Amino acid sequence: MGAFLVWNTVWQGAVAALTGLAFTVLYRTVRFLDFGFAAAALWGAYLAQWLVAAQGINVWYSSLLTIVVVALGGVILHTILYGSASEDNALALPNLLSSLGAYLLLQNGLLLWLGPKNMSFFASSEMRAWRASGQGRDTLMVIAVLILLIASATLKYTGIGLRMHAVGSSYSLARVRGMNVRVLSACATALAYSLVSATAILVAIDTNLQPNMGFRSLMTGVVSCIVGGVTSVRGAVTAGFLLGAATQAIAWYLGPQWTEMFLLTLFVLALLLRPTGILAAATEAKGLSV
Amino acid sequence: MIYLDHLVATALIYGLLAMSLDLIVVECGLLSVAHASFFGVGAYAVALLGRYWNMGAVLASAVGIALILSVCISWPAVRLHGDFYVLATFAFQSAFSSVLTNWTAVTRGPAGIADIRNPFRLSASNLLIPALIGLSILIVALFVRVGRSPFGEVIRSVRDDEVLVAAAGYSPAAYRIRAVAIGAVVASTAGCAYAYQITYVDPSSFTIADSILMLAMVVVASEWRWIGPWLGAGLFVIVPEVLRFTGFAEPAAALVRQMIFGGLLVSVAQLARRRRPMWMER
Repeated sequence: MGAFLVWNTVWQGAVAALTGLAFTVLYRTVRFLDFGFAAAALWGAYLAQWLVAAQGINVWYSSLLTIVVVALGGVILHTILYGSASEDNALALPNLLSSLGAYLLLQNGLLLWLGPKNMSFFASSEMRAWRASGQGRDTLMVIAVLILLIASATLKYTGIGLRMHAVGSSYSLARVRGMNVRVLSACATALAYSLVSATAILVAIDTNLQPNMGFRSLMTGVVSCIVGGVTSVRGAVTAGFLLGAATQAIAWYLGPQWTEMFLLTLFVLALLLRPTGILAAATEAKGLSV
Repeated sequence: MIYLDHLVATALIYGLLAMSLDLIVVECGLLSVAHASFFGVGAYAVALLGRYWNMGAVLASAVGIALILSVCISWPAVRLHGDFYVLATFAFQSAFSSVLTNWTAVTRGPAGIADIRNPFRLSASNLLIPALIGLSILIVALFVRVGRSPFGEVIRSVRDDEVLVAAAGYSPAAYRIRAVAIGAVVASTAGCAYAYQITYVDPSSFTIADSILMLAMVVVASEWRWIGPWLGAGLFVIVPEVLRFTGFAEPAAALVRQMIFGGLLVSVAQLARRRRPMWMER
């Protein structure tokens, strides 16, 4: 029982950290919180399931293909709808409205296509048994942690990660310094959408597909991102794991139905008391918000 | 005739809702995605209290609860701008939906509350529609009057330049709180009418998606002051009826309706990026 609880806590934390990181990646560069992530998560999970169940493609190839498709879709969406989102004089509200509209359009389009019902990710009993086994769950955990480490390292320690952040800090200055701001924005978008879809696939493999999973993913991601400090990679990851532990404790002591309320209360408190993020405060004071 | 009655009542209810949200979004410049929660407060007040109390007491409690909730959310949140205000309202709306779904002892959860008594239905006639028409005329007249009053001018000035408003000796936060409170009161009244009309409430009518739909109703025709919200609400009511005649079954029609409004929201936002209306300059 104890091992299962620890596994679940780390798993919830990794999922929250991954979605929070996706919001942070995009906000650091494009400076807006994309509600379209909810639809991206749903598309990621359902598309991968459709490739596995209806097309008979291997689960790993399906997942990779889905991540690429969702990332490309995200880049196209951003190019068409939020082309100048990161520009210094861009308006925040039209982009927010666009992302809310895109969320309604894409989520309902998918549910119209595949039907608004709960589904199992795997059709074969063999794969379901693998998922339920310790080996299957450990594989999912290792993949989640690996993705988290690679994405965080890319953002913090590589030139492209730093340049993406520079675009968000000052669009004009980044352009003056010769950076290709559009390509860098597209890279951030592709990375963010990849993270969202990868997380959704991992969650779908672990707990099956539900029509409201996109909204849940959105909520977890936004809370981790805001609590951790909107532009801080370290903050988003740390907040994700702390939230994972806290939600697990709430589910254990009060019941799983109250975890959502807990997340939202924490979110509102963070938003009202310190909108730049609780964990970002210390690093920002030292000028280390990367 | 019953079908037509239902359509007219729904259009009037959503018209009132859109009008109240218009005050918050277009006049005051606060992009809110929590309006379905105020609507839900009214509807659930009727469902829960209507069995024991008379209509006047129920309406007064619905308005009172909506007023308190609106102040609770807007008092701390008015300091936030743009994305962060939207996120605060998003959190409030999600929390409200979560309470409706999970507090089953009171709200009966996803099963909802049925058999709500409609005091407007007397023998063969439904007096709710004349009452709604009267209420709508009253609210429109009130909003036009408020819009032309010094209070309305200050509300729009808060949207356009809050520093100037503060320099002139007004408190931008106080005016924002009042605008949200007025919007919440009208939305909860519309919620009461909705519960009387449908005689059944469940959490699925008061979700974040419903709030976004209400926002879409407001922004699709935001250029036409006073008439715009009613046009948006009319479209919201007509679209599912058109879909019904084109052969869509109910669950699919609901999804298509949300897609159409999502598309409209995207189109309006794209137009706004070029035209840059005042209420989006934040």
